[in-house]
Amino acid sequence: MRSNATQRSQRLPALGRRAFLKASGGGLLLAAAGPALLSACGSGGGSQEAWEGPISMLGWDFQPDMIKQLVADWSAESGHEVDVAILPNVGYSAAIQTRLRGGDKIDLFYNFAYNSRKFVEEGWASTLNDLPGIDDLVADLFESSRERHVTPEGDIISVPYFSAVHTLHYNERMLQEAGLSAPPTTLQETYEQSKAIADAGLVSSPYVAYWVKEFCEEYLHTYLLAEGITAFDDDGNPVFADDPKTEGVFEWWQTMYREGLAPASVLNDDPGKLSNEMAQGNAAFFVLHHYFLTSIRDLAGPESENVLLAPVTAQNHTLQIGEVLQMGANDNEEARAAIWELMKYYGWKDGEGRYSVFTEWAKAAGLAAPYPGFFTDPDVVEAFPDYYDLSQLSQIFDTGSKVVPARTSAWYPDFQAKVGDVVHALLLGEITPKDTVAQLADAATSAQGSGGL
Amino acid sequence: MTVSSPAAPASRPRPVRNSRGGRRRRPLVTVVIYLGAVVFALWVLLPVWYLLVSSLITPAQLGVRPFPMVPSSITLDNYVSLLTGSTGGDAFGSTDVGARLVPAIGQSFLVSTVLVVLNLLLAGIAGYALSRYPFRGSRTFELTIIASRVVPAIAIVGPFFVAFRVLELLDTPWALIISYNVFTLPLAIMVLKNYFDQLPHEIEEAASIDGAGRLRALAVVVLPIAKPGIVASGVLIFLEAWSEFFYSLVLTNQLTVPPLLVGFQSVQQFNWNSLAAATVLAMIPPVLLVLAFQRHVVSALAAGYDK
Repeated sequence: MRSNATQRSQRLPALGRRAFLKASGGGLLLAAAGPALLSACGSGGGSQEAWEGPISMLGWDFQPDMIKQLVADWSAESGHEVDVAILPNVGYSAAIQTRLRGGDKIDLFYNFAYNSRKFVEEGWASTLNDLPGIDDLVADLFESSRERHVTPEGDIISVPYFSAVHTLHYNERMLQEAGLSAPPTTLQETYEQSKAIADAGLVSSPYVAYWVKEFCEEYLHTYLLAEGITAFDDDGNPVFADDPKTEGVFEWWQTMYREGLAPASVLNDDPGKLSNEMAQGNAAFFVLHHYFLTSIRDLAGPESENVLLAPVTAQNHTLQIGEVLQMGANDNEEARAAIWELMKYYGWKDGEGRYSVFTEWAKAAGLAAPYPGFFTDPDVVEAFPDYYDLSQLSQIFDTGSKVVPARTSAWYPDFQAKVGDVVHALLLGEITPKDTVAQLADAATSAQGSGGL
Repeated sequence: MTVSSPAAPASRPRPVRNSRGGRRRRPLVTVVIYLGAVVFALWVLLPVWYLLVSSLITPAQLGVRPFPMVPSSITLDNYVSLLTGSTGGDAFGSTDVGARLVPAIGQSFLVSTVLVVLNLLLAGIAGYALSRYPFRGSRTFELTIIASRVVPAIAIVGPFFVAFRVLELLDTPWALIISYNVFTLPLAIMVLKNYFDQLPHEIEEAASIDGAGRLRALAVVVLPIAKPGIVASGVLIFLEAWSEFFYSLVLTNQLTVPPLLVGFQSVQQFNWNSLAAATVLAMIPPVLLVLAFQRHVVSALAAGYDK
């Protein structure tokens, strides 16, 4: 396997005559013919000529050495060469869209689920409908997860890269000291228990969450689902606006912040800091993806070992998230067959039927895969530390979580970009819960009207 | 006739002068000025100190409240793991970033240095010409140059990407060297033009009388006295290129330092300590550069102060 990211960075291109002339030509060409070049940009795919490879793969910067190792293992097995390129997670969405729009040919790429349908509609990603074994893969998924990968029209647009569920990380010792026998099972109980812990003087602001603007959208769904509200119907209509319980959810959210049960800094804190707050005993509750339990435990703070996982609420659902792998636009059947083999290995099972790639992500950070078989695979069970209750986690995936299919719609990123501003205005007391409902409904309607970013 | 009254000088307070003949400040004013300087220095240096301390402590220490501005114990583990390329702890978002950091620093240095040389050459000529040969519309031309700096990178990176894809220059330093000109060249032209404006024309005229042609006068007379301005421009260009993120993100695969550092922040994991250590290491070349040319930079920035 050739790893471009490494090879190119280690190769200092000589500033020789040839390179200089090419670069000079580039500058002149750009100055003279920039607009013409734009119009000339093609997809780069679709060749019916004999395919020689290599497969080009683009991922984001999470364990890049492991990505290369896993792909190298597959290359050695399959005989197909793969060029792996890595970009940072921050800025990935803008970079990949600029590259694809500029005619870059990427055969297989990581993508955020919320971009997946848009990429198919733009012609940057292909559907996987007729590929051999795709039905088996889809059947192997949790039923709750399928809507992330299969559109309402029945097109299969992606396979899993990883998945997670929003859970409540709680400090068992603090609960006991505050006289609480079990973690909260509703949002109201979360408020009451936070207040009890604060009143007991254990910690002044017991509840933390990753409420930065970019992430408020996930919490919107997490909290609405906790009260039994699915924000959008199958047609993408913002039905949360018609549910009388929605306003109550926003009242709860605002109260948690305005009463100081969540610290003021929580609007800007990063997950690393929040994990540390739990590890150090500065917070008793932390809602975010289940795998942050690994971070909290690894920090080995004085309270790390007292932190356990529970569902956000016991009665309804939580948000199931997951990022995806997509196949680039490529009409060459030979190429598609090779890319599909890599996709199956990377997003499902290896040739021996094991979840070998997902097992590595589980070892690295406690990430999960949305397959029931994943949670009972002996390698996976061994990969997860003892403090994870895998049967509980599997159950949350199976019946306790939803993916909210609208989140993969082409218009959705436009809505998503607006949620943070509205929610922060709510938390800062600038708008009422009722206004919040109206503004978010307007944002959804307007995003659908504009067709997305 | 007027008779000077000996009492008059005594009744009118004489301004207190310092040893250089300048008016001496009142002690209170001096205290306020120094206090302001200290506050400003703290404002600038505290984040750097926070960064440095974060790079020398463990993740567990980082979470302690209040933050240990003077840590009780320090560790070099964050640096060692970065420089040995084994940042393989579970809490690291980017395990092989160590192996990539030093090459990325090298690439950043290459890009920035080549850009400085090219820009000083082009901007020097352009700035001198604009200063000495104003033409109809030259003011508009200057404003256009300035305006080109406000175009957001995301608006123009697309054409660059297409051009470099066609020319097979993607993921090479040349892609960055060419594209960075969009924002560094206008800056250099502005700075140098203003600097040349302040240099007296009489020196060049004297050189001309002595028989020197325009180019010779430029090389022998103007450039030596413009050295502080040229060095200051070079340092500014270097710093701009060193810290640029978006072009590098789109046009390369983490070739230079900024996108590599951003790679520490992952949705799945975040390690502030290793990011802090990597940032401190990445700060060393530009800091050394500024220190080396400090005298010239200060001189250029202060030019015109007493005119």
